[in-house]
Amino acid sequence: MPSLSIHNLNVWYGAQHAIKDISVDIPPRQITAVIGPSGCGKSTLLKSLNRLLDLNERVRVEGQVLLDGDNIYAVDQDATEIRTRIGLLAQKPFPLPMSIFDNVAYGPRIHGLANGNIQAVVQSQLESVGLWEEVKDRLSAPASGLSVGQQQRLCLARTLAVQPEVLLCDESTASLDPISARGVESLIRNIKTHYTVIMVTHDIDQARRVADYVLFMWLGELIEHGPAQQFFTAPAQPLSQAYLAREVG
Amino acid sequence: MEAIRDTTLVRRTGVLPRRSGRRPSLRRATLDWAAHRFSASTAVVVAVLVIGIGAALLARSRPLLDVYSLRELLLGQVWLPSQGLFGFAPFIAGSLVVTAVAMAISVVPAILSGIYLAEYVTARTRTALKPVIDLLVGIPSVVYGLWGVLFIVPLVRDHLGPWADRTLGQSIPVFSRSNPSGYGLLAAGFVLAVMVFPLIVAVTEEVMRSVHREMRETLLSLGATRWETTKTIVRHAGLPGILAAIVLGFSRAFGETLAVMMTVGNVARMPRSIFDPAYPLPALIANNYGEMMSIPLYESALMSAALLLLVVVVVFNAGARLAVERLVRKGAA
Repeated sequence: MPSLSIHNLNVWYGAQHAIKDISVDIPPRQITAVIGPSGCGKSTLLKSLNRLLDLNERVRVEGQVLLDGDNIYAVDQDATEIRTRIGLLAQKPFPLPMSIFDNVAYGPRIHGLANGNIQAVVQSQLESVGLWEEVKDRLSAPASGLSVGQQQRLCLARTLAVQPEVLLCDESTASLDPISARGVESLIRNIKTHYTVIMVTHDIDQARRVADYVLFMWLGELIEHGPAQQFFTAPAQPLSQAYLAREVG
Repeated sequence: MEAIRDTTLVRRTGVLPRRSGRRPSLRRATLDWAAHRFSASTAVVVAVLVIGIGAALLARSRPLLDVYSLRELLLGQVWLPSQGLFGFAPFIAGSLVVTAVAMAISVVPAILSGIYLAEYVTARTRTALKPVIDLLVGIPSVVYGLWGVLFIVPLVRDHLGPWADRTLGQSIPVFSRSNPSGYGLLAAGFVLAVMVFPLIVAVTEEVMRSVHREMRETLLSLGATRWETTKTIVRHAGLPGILAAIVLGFSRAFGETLAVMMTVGNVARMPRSIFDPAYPLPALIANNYGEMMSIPLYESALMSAALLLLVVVVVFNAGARLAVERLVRKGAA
């Protein structure tokens, strides 16, 4: 299983210091929830883990993110390979403007993972997110015709089809209706036996439900981290206590 | 909320809403109403203008169209107005070929450049290059024409022509060097290509930049390379816009007058080689309108040429619009 650890990570957006000297080891095959108020740097932290921040030219990254001991920001690292190994489920579902089938098949096709049987790969991924029965008769229909909840499950299937080792979820249930949100949430909970999951959420209750490990961030700093059980029952820092009591944030 | 309802009301009934409670003030409501009406009327004016131009040209073309059949005019290869021969075929062929040469040279590099500007360069490079592209679009065509006469025509005459004569021209008649002057379809097509290039680059860049940021992020997150990402965006989101860019380039090239007139040779004969001189429709009109008007039907013939230009551009645009709509429906529905 991959080990992911962050060492003295700093991120600047222009002059704004968005991530301040964060160091933490992410436990494998568990769900790590990153919580904190809006604008505390949760999403920035997440995007720094699959080098999606590279797209923004104003961003400067210092420090190390070690995937199996290799720094993903080392000059000889290929961002494409990093993103293949570390998948991302975005906040808003974004079905690619193509068919349901092609959405799932996209990753396996470019990475040559299908071994000549793309049908089977797509079917098994759609089954794993509980979408197969709902869409098996309209696989060639445009993905944009699905409901938002179905779209997010499709996006999850699409991400998992690349066979990543780590799954990043950026408030992936925030834009869904409550029932769909619960569905996606339990899917994520079920797959943690195979993946290391890092999930950004502003929903403390959701973190309580799914997290094994918690990172609590405040204004770009990592205030506290530890096993969820410990964090939610006996937070060590006054700021964490206040946040959990919903007095701040 | 209130304001939105009022706007709909105005649109539906065309009357000013009564004032009450939290309704916008009379001044705001009036301004809103006036803005709506004004923009509507300008849109109507534009439509009327196009139809008006078409109608006027048709009216002035009637004398010629009453005497000759459309078939005689469009397929006739001899242009001798003094003897009453009005064959438009050489001019139509000239226009089509010179445009085709220009598009063949410019379309692929221009689209690749636009994609490169949108997807690959840094924001700073883009900010530096975009004004240059816009400037190139705005250079007066007479300047391009002069540049063509000074550089392209000699290039064709002294280098490309002799080279083609030694190589391709021996076996393929289209490339045979039929005319040693350098003035001809290739020179004019080249000048046109340079004129159309920045236009297609600018529109392609705009189209690619307008694609959702999420799409790019999604594809990259799936481990797609830069090129795979670009390819997928072009195929599934950018194609209609890029087609529109090509149509814009075509319309510009097809209607361009001055720069073509200066470099194409202006000989009313069916072209057989890209080195042949030709006489595109816009050049015909520009060179002859106001002269030899004593010849019967001459003015009417020039008006027919103008009408033909208008019809081709309108039909081409409409066809492209239809194609774009079908593409969009197929891609996004």
